Amino acid sequence: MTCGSLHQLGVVEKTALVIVCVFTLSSAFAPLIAPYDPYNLAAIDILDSLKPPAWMQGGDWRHVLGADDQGRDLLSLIIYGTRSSFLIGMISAMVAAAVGVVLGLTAAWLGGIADTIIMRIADVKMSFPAILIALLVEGISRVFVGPTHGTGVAVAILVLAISLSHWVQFARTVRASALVEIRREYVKAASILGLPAVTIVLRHILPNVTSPILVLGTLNLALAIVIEATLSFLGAGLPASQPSLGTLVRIGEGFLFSGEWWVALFPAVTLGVLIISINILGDGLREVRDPRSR
Amino acid sequence: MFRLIASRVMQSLLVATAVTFLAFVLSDLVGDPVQNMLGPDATIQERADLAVQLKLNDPLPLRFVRYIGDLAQGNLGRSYRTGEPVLTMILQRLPATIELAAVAFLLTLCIGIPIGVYCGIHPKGLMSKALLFLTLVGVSLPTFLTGVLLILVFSVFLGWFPAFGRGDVVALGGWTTGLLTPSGRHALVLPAITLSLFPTALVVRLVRAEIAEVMQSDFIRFCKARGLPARLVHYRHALRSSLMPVLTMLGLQFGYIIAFALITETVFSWPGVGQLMVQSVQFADIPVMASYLMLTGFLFAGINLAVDLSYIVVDPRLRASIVRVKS
Repeated sequence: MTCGSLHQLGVVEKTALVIVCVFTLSSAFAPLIAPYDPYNLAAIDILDSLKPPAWMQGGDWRHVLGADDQGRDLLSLIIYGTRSSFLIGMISAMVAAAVGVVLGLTAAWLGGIADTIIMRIADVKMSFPAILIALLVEGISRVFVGPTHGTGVAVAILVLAISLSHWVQFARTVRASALVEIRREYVKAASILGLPAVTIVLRHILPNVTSPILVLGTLNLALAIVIEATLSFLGAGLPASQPSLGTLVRIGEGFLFSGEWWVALFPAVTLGVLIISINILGDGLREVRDPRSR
Repeated sequence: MFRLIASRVMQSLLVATAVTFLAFVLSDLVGDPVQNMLGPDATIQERADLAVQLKLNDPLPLRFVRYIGDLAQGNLGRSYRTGEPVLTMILQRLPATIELAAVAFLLTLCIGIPIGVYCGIHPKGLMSKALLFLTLVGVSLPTFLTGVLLILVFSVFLGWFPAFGRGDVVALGGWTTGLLTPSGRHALVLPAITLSLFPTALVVRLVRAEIAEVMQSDFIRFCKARGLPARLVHYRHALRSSLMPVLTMLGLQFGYIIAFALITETVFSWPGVGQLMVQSVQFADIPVMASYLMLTGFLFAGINLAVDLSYIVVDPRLRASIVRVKS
């Protein structure tokens, strides 16, 4: 992704880029930006419970966007929640990409039975919606881990669930481009030189098939964040003590009808803006890279 | 052509078997039925006796065959959570899910295709651009978020529609429907819109792309030159020849609607199969999860098969080319 391609983006795409950058920075520096540390139980005052946003009656500038049922500052929760969503989304997208690339390269290089088996599994997997697979992985892991586990385990299960449901696109794309590269002369030359297969695949073929992975990765980041948020919303993701955006909407949903709409609305809007921006950016990048799709 | 159909059917059967095996492995290897039935105080001898009695020590293939035998008799096991037979639980909740999915699917067709055609015919119009941006939003927003936002606006702020439950339902034989009562229809509005938003946005984008491409082709120019009215050109000729990819996607979308129904059902406390699945994931209720997995697996295999077969019916070229290649 060169600077040249960024200049070709339209106004909408540039705005999306700025929004994504702001979210990235605020996630990276969450402890510096957030007014409170929502994980620190000592800093929470239960008297602030369900305090409305500052501009409403009963509001207070100490909690600009109000507070949740435990008296945690909503703005801080959202900043930290975005951080969790981003982090889990990125790790999962990367794991999915890694698994997909390895399987795609293996299928392309070995061919024959290995290729058939991997691509058949991919076909079957493709015909199931990702959310179903993620939910299943989540449920099965719960049986093994047990109902009570720490945040670390919850994050690991989430990453496993999301990446297992997303590797197929990477595998297909990489396999398709690798099959083209394998017929090229330089690969032939490398194998005549007697280089080991692993070296040929990783040092020579891989660098030539990476460019579509980047675009796919951007779009996949949005998908991964959506799946994470959905799982957390369904109660199968991060616990309420360290909420992601999905968990926050879940908490807020319980207060919709008692008048405390802000607990659900602000995290929901944040999540929506984040995902839409990433998607617009991903679409824009794809169009710049591949003018035919315009 | 017969060989093509046979190989597609075989492939679907293979997928169905794989899914069944997965469900079997899930319910067989995960969790310990002896532990569940006897509790922690049982002696080792009691455990061993029960294991023999339940034939848990038989070899794996034998247990798999017995599992399939049980399935054929409609025995899906009992829920760990409620103790009810899983089949009863699922059958009880199936009408709610099917009704919701069918209405959402209809909405997708009736809204998605006309908007898609409109955007494809006027690619430069301001209206199409606005609609297209809306579809990007629709594709991006997670289903649960749409649901919560709709509830916030239409139930909490405006108070127009109920936000949970199915309203009053009428029993018709073994089937319950909410379509015949005012409160049932009322309760269906928000969930159906929530569920259909994502597939509608996808359909609009796909139909638009297809129509825009077809409109460039010679035969459409010829239709216009013949002086056919615009409506006929657009809907009879352009839409028809761009329906193939749309058909595939609609088939897949129906499967996706069933899957995404589990999120919508959770948001709106809709008493369907999806809600049951989400609850069983939270409680690690393996028999229910395994059954749900198997049912949706069969459903997806069936839908994929139907879509592939309908290709052969819809597109005569495909039929002809296959016959030529095979003979």
